[in-house]
Parts: sequence; C-alpha cells; structure tokens
Amino acid sequence: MTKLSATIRKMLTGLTILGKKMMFWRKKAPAPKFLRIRKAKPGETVLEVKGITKRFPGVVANDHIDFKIKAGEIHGLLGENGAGKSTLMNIIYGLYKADKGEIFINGEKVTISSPVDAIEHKIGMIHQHITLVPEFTVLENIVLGMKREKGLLGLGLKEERNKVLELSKKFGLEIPLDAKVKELPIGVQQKVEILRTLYRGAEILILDEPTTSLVPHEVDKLFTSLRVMVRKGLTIVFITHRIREALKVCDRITVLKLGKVRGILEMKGATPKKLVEMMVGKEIEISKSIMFAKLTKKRISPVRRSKKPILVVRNLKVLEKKVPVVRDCSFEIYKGEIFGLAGVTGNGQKQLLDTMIGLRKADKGDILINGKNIRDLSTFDILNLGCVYIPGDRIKEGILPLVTVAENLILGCHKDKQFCKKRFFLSWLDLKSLSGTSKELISGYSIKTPNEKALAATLSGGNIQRIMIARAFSRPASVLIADNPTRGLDALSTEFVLKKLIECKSKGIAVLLLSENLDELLKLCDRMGAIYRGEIVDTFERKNFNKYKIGLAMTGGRG
Amino acid sequence: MINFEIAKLKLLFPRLRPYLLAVLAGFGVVGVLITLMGRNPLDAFSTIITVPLGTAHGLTETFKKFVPILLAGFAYAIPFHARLFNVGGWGQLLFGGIAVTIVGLSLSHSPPPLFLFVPLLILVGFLAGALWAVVPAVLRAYFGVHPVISTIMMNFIAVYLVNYVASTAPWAETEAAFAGHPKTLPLPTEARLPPLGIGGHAGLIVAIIVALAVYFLMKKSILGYEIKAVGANPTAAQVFGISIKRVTLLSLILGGAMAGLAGAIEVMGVHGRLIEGMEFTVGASLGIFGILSALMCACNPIGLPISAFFMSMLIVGADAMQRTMMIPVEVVFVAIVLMVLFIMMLGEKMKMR
Repeated sequence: MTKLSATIRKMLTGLTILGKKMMFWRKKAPAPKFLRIRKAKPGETVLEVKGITKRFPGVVANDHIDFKIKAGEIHGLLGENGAGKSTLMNIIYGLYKADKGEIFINGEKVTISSPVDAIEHKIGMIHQHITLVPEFTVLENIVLGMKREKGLLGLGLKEERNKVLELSKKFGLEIPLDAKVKELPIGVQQKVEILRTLYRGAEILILDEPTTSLVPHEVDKLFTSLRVMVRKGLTIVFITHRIREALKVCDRITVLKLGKVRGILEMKGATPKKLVEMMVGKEIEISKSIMFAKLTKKRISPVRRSKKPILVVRNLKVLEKKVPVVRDCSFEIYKGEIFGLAGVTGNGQKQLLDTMIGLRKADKGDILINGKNIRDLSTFDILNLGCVYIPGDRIKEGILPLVTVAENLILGCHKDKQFCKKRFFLSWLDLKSLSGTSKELISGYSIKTPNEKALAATLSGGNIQRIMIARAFSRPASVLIADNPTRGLDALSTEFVLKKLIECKSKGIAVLLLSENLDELLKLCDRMGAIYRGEIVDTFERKNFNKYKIGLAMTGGRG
Repeated sequence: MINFEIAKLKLLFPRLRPYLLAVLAGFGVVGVLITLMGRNPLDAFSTIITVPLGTAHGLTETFKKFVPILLAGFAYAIPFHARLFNVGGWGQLLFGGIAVTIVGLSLSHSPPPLFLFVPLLILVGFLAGALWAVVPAVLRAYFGVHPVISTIMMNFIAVYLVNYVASTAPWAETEAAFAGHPKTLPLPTEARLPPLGIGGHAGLIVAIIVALAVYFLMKKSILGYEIKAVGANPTAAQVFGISIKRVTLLSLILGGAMAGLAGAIEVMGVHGRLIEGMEFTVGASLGIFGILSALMCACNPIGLPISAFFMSMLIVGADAMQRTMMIPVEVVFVAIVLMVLFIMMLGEKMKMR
C-alpha cells in the first residue's frame, strides 16, 4: 500500500513539474545553466548551515548543527550510523524539513523545501543506491525528466547529446552514452548518476556513502574523478563512515556523533586514530580491534579442526531458467572453522545460499549437515537442524518492517519451545518470554530502539543488522551462514559483528562467510574458496592467502 | 491521576484525529446535499443518531445488522494482514446461508433439540464459508491467481446458486412468491437463533466470542504472528522458515469461514430461510459493508467492532431517515463512502510524514 501511494505521489509530483514546464514552454529557454560554472574563489564559503535541529520520534537526529563548506573542496562528513549525516544532507537537499535552523548559500539565507528548490540553488545529491532506469540508455537516463527546448514530443536527444558530451569531457566522466545502463558495472552507473546531477546544473554535489557497493579499483577511479571535478570548480560533500576513505579523498572532514558536530579537521592534522576517537569515542581500542588490524598471517583464534566436517556441499548444481547458475560446487566446513567464499556479486552466491537454506531446489548434488542430507528438506526443517542464516539483503530478506522489534527478534525461532505454547488446540506466543528475551537481546546486542515494541521500520540500518545478528546468535547452532554480515555498517557495528563471528568459531560452529570485502575475509577466514560463474575455482589455506591470487581467481583467471 | 488520563487522551487524539476529521467531512458533504434537496440537515442527522441509539427497536435493529457486518469485516481483515484481499465475503456469506438452509431443511422432519441444532448449523455455516474460500485460496497458493479476481468470480457463482436453491424442488417455497423473490421453506423453530431482548438475537453472542477469538488469534497466536510476518515481508518470512502457502491457505479460508458464519446467522436469526437478495440491506451487500468497515479501521481487530457498529448505526439511521423525512438512503451511502476515502487518504498522509 505504502509503495503504491509513494508511486502515485511520485507521479503526481512529476505531473506538477510537467505542468510548470508546460506553462513556460513557449518562453524562450534561458542559456543552459551548466555552462556558466561560477568561479567561486577557493576558500570562500558556499554553503553554511546554522543551528539545524531535527527530531524524529524518540531521537534527536541533528542537534544544533553548524557546518560550513568552502568552494572547491571535498568536504568529508564522517560519522557512525545514526550520527545524523544523511539526515543533515537530506535537509539541505530538501527531502526533510528541519525543526529549527537556517541554511545559507553564498551568504544568502535560503529556504529549501524540496529537491526542486535544491537544484535551483545548484545543490545535487547522489544517493547510496543507484536510481537509474536499467532498461534505458545512459543518455536517456541523463535527459529523463528534464525540460527540453524543442517541443514536448520527441526526445530531442541529438541536441542534448552534445551538452552531455561536453560535460563529461570537462569533468573526466567519460561514459558510453548509448550503452544500456543495466549492462554497465556499478562503478560506471554511479558516474552516470553524477553526470545526471551535473547536467541539472549542480555545483555542490552531495554523495551519500558512494563507495558502499563499489569494488576497490572502482573506488580508486571514483576518487580520481572527484579530484578532477573539484579542480574544475565543483564543491563536493562526501558522506562516509569509512575512515580510510575519508582520509584518502577529503580536504577537510567534519565529524558527527549522535547528531552533534564533534569537530572539524583539516587534512594536515588528521590521523586515523584521532578520527576513530572523535567518531566512536573510546569504545573501540584500535590496538585490539579486528577491523583496524593489519592483514597479518597471525591467526585471530586457533582452529580446532575435527576429522568429520559439519557442513558438506558435494557436486551441487542449480539451474535457473534452465541455465546452470551453480555448477559442480563442492566444499566442506569443519567444526570451529570460518570458511570464506570470495566472489564478485552475481557469480551464483545468492543461488548457492538459497539452495542451502531450502528456498531453491538443487538439480544435482548433496548438502549434508552433520551427515544428514538436507537437499529435499523445507527451510523450516533446515533451520531446525541447527543451521542459522544471516541474509545478505537485510531489508528484502531479513526484516519485517511494520512489525515490532521483539517480534522481529524471534522470526525463525517463533516455533521453539521457549516462545510457543500449545493451548486450546493452537500454538500461542508466550508473550512474557518474548518480551523478556527481546529485552535481553536489545541490551546484549546494543540495539538502539526506544523499546522492544517499536516498529522495526523506524530503526537505522546498523540497528536492523544488529537484529539480524542477535536473532542468529541467540539460537543454538552448528552451522552459521552469514552473507555479507557487515555490509553498509559503521566501525562500531562492524567490529561488533566480527567479534561475534569469532565467538561463533570458538563455540565450535562451522561458519560460511560471504563478503564483498576481501580484506575482511583475509582477516577472519581459516580457508577461502573463490567462486566464479557458479563454480569454486580455487581453495586457499590461510598460510597461502594472497590478495592478488584470490582476486585473480575471483575473476576467472587461475594461477 | 487526572493528569495521567489527560496525557493518555493527548496521545490518543492524534491517532483518532483522521477519523474525527473524516466523519466531519463526510457528514459535511452530505449536509450540503440534504440542504440542496431542500431539507434541514440537522434534523436528518439527529434522526440518524437518535433512532438507532435512542430507541429500543432501533438498537435491536442495529445489533442485528452489526453481527453480520462485523463477521464479514473479519472476512476481509484476517487475510488482509497477510496482504491478501478477500473481497469474496459476499459469496462466502451466501454459501454459508445456503449450506445452513439445506442442512436445516433436511433435518426438519425430526429436528434435534435447539441446543444441539443451533451450534450444529453454526458450525455448518462456518465450514461452508471456509469451503467457499478454499477455491481462491488454492488458486492463490498454488497458481498465483490474484484473490481479488477469484473471489469476485466466486461471488457471482454464489449469487446464482442462491437463486437455484431458492427456486428448486425440495427446498423452494412454491406457494406465493415473497415479493417476487424466490425463497426456500422456513427452517424449523429449533434451528432459529433465540431472541436476545434488546440485543437482537443470540448471534450477537457468537459475534462477540468470534471478535475475542480473532483478537487473541492476531495478537498472540503463532498463526497470527505468521500471518503478520508474511504480510510485512513475504521474502523474509520465507527465508526464516514460514510457509507462505500455508499462511495463504489458512488466512483466506479462515476469512471465508467468518463470512460463512455471518450467512448462517443471517438465515437463522433474521429471515429464518434463504431468500434471494436477503444479503442486501438498504441497497448494498452485507459483504460490502463488512469490507467498508474493515477499511475504516485499517483492519485492526479492536477497531473493527467499533467501525462495524458505527456502520450498522448509519444503516439503521438512514433507513429511518428515509421513512420519516423522505430523504433517500443513498445520501448516507455517500457519507459512508466519503468517510472511508477520507480515512484512507488521511491515514496514508500520516504514514508519509
């Protein structure tokens, strides 16, 4: 219902904008805005916010935030999940309305009540996730929804093409304009988003966690183009929680914590240690941290390998629309071992996991847990055999948005004896045990929520992930399947998840860990397999771990 | 203490505000309509409120409408929590009525005593409604057919099945057609719901028990939990071992059973027989009124009795208004429909913020 209404709302906004355009249709179009990039003197303040305060039920997301951005800089906005970075930028972009506070652009006070206003003030935002139409070409995506000078019919793509080309050359964002967006890698799609924003005349670009879905070499490329753009006179706000990235690309960094500005650092004085302390306080000891550990060959905790493997996958073959997506996949995981599966997204990992938890049927091969073949069991039975799953897409597969946190925490174990009582021929939830357990889990896993009865949809991504973790680790298990358990998390949450994974290992659980972050796998795993096109092409022992060799295997090269 | 109560009210008010606004807006528009007809809207409104609430007969009639509307409301509300739209309350209600009539008439030669016969027939109605919902449920769970389509088709079948039963040999009343509507022979008195004074008939007790049962089912049972989980996020529910097929089947069938109960009670408590078109009350099917009241309260099991009572009050009031003031009942339907639309509109708006 909500989705539908959101769509209708979007359509209505679209119509209003269209209406506005039609009214001015006959007027002579002004010179395109994007060609007159104003030469602001470097160092001059282009955007300033004063005393921005925004409350959400139960949380002060922004608490009197003062913040300045100078022309021609890359300004980092660093902070934990829920520190208020995205809220602040959404206010500047007109998506939220601040309860209090003022916004100044070039020293003039402005009110921004919608993204249309923001674009008029030359502010553009690029969101964490790609918002392009996959079926359209790059050029169509860039031009989509823009006012054109020639009539309402016909796309007028020819005239626009030159403008787009000029822009892309100027800012070093060279993209094949006629390729369909769905055929491009994520890194290039992001460039399309940036180009689209520039095409609309933005001079201040806000990038919300742009590196989340990029692989390392794409991150490097993105940073290079950001540098070029700044040199050509743009100003960039870079929202991130990754300290290394902030240090690598920013000129100045503003650190937010719990809705307040913790400090503004020039690049000269910034060290990782200082930033971690400002960002998370003294809660993480860097010397002991797993996340900030250097990649060493030292084991984080010993393996106690028994002779019998707990989880065995043997010659597994899975078909999707009659095409094999997992082919001849074999591996085994022993007690107290973390087995990593490294691969570029879309190489059959999802289908492999779906088959392992019973959502898909295998075409050939076996999956054994403690010697029992689970190939033809239902998901419910597989979970009851002691298999615990942390889904990769927490929003799509992990959370029940309009259901309470407590009820989310017991999803999957709601039929366990602890919560389920039989009375009057029916099974009933034991509400006392439910609220007791959920309170324990909320405090034990530091889930930030007003209480256990809050709706899960009101929680931030990091806290939703904590629900996933709490749910998985609160159940006795012999196998843990964790699909990117730290994806999109901040330092503190990541550290937390990594520690919990190592705890699992020490409890003797066999862990299958999937991650897009190769560094993470290198730190945690005892053995690692590289998956490419649904096939495990190579397996590495910890003593033979080599980033480049594994990377090569992930992309299909053997050696 | 008083402060605490005031604080509580203050918390409650923002949640009730859309409802109050919607009621005001609905009646506002209708007031204009009535004025345009040259009548006094205040008189009309006072009739609508005082007759169903202020007179014994009116209250009895209101309760008689309340029971089937509430049950038909649950027929929509229960599957709705799993995001399944059961608009087949109408047909399920009729099939409940058909089954009760056939079983009741076939036992009429040597009827069992009332305390056995009535529960038996209520069970028959329950099962028949469930059976009528099995078809859309199976179509949804195994073939992916949208329940809106399948339940509407099943409505048509049920309507013509009533026609058939009410005009075919062993059941039909052959003498003197009832205002042109085909009807069956009357059920024996042992199969009638005993009257309940001002509360109408004993169906009210059934309705109250069902309302409590549904409340506990949705709030506290594993099935209710699974229904909510599937409604909130079917993929996540599936990943964590909940069978979507099972939830689809159970919630739709349970919804159908509720409507079947409504049909049984309507036959046993009000008409005493099956009559073609009996499910129509002042112009629309009881099944539709059930859906409307469920929409009014966002399918909340506590809100539904309230909105169903409000709806039956309006129906009885509208009827009285038509008889005493010659204002057509349709005017009140305009108000009802507007209220539902306003509530949904304001509710969606609140969600967006």
